Amino acid sequence: MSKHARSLLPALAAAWLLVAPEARASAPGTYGMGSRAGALSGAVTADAADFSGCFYNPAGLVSAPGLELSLGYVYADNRLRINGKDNDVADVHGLMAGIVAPGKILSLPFAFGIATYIPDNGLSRIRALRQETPRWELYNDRPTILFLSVHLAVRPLPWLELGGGLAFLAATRGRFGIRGEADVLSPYDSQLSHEVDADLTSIRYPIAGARVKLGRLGYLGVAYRGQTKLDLALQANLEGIVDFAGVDVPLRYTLETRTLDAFQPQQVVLGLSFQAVPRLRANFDLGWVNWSAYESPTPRTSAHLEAEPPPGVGVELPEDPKPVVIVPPAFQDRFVPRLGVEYVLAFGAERRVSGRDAPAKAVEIPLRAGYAYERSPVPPQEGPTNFVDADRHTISLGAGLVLNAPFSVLRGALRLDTHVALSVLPERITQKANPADFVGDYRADGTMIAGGATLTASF
Amino acid sequence: MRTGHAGSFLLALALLAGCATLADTETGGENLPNAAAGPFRALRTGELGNLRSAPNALEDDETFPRDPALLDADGDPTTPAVFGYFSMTPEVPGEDPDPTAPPRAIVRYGAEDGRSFDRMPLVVLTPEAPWEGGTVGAPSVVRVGDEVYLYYAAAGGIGLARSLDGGVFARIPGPVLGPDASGWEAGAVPRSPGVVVLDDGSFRLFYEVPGPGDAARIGEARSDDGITWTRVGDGPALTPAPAGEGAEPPYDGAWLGAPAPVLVRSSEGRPILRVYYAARDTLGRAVVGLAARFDPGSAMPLERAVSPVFGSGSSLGPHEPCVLVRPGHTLLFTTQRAGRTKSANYPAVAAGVAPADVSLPAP
Repeated sequence: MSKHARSLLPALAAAWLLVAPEARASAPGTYGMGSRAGALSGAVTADAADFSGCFYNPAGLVSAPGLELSLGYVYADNRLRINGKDNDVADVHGLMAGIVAPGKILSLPFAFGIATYIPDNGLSRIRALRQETPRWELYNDRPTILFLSVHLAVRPLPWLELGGGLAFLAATRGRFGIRGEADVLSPYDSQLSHEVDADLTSIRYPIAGARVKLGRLGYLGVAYRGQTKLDLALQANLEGIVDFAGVDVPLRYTLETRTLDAFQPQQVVLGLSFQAVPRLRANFDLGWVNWSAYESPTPRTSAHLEAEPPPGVGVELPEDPKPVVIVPPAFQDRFVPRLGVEYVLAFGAERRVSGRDAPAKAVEIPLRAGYAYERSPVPPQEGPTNFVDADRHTISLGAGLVLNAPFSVLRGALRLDTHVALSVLPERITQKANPADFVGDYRADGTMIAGGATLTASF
Repeated sequence: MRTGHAGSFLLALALLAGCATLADTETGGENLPNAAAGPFRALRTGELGNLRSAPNALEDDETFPRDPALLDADGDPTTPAVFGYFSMTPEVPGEDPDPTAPPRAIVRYGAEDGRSFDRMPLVVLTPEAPWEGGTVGAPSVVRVGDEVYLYYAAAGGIGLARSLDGGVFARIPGPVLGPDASGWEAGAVPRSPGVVVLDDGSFRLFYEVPGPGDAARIGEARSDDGITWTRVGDGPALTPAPAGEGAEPPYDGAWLGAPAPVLVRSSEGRPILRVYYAARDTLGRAVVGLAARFDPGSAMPLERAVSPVFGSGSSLGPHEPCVLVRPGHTLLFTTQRAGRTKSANYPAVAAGVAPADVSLPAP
């Protein structure tokens, strides 16, 4: 076993040297799904048998010891700065919850899992900014979006687990129109009718994975998360007659805007979980993130105002907004390494625990640590765009308390996991190529402190 | 039994989740970087004192002060007081004021807050020399040691007058930059000077060259003493932009002139020479543009900003800009129509500020 481990070390070392970073997407991708995964810096692709598998690798769900209900909370304090001044990037906080229900169909082990992240400062936030406006592109709005995923997992062979399902986001398409006659001097005499037609469309993208048992060594896992984005389209029409003290002015205004937000690139993650030493797990993930497919969130807007003011009235109609020439963001694909270690201290008398083959001590205290490095996919912003970003180093720590079979009605375990993670974004200097740039040179850096707790009841 | 406990757990989860949908305020937009180069927004009511009506920092429907040039009153950019030098058309007894008449004097106003000009003009220059052809205007002022250099446009070229107090000026005889028949200027009279003193003490002069036809271009000259000038290069420093592939004509595709250079440093300490200028497109729409280069003393070409810095969508026709760089913001002053009504069809000096979200101290 140690021989196998030794043989893998050179490969791991080579992979480590080749890496250049993974992905930030929704809150689970940025701050972790559940405290156990958060404490391991997300290095759980081959070691996610709880609800976090709905994000990291659904194949692991089938290894859940029993029906599990989890509820957690995460809070991330973002302190992102440009030129040394805090940009007030939103803190991210919300509930994480999930259910894993394993069972058997015709002796085939399977599991159903559902997980969600519900931000508690709004279910979804989308902003459309000019491409010249500086913004922390990957951190400001993207994590503040509801995440929901539903999965099935099976174990067709004793050494193979497969899982997959869908994750959901919501997109908006809308239209509103106003027609009628408006009296400027007597607004209450205006006769206007309006209509609103909006669709909230669910956006689905796949998450799938597989896990292979490597004998007593542990597991090898691979997971795929599909590409997705939110599409916001809005069409507005204003048509009518404006009454200026008896002078009727026909007026027509049309607006169409469309923007993309919360683009999440597809990604493939390969994970190893060494479990050869009792009570010790060492996990390593290497993810590939297809950031080069990133689409510009710059809104495409067209507007036109038609009016026929009476002759001699010095009313100046605004020009139509000029069409925006969108600069391709040209993000770059990245590899992201993640490392996590977990060691479990055990105390008390041994008990039989539902879903576990061997008896376990009454109390277990898992201790966890992790590290992840995400190199920025954003190219140097020398041109007109200002997608602010920097590399990200994350160090995480965590601990848990597991009470095995604590009550007669709870034959499984009651588990409380906590974690804290510090992300450091080293300073990145942007120097503009055009001396007439309106934003000019700047330096960006920051820190993030995330923490949370997850309570899991295993029945 | 198990299912019942699981149900209770789910209920608790649902109740907690139900509390979790309060909207947050907009975030992420604080302390964003800005080079304070533009675009400028017009000053608003309350941002000008001395009973000036925003955005017009200076307006007189009898003498038409216009074509601003700003000079820090004490040479200290942290103090707000400035002197403004303007072209004007003195009243002629028995004649109606004519806003289209050539300027026949340069006057100085003061502004304690750097933008709201007082109502006590001091005439500092009137046409005297034959080469001036009875007109002086389009001033540009720089501080050189203990002196103030006032460059101005006249009928025969660009002249210079010097002063120790900024109020009483003595001319340098003859134009310091006259027509050049041998080069690309084809003998056109240079006008509308803009002068800047570089860090090494040398001078750069940008000027408007009329032609060909209705067009105009911007030329550049250098000097070690501010008096003797040598033209830079064998072509214009800036010419009207060629038509691109887009549906919209370039904002400076037909005409550009009235350059106003200013020296700044980027937040990374890189020196930048900015040249603001008046521009018109092929549809006759007037705006204020910006071009710049790193290494101000070099002969590197000027690069345009991606869009105009002032006047887009306006029919007031801004021209003859000048800027005043202050810590954290830049003020723009430009000549344009006093207003949109027929009775306001005369030149005034409007003021703007960049970045647009800056809060100016009270006037």
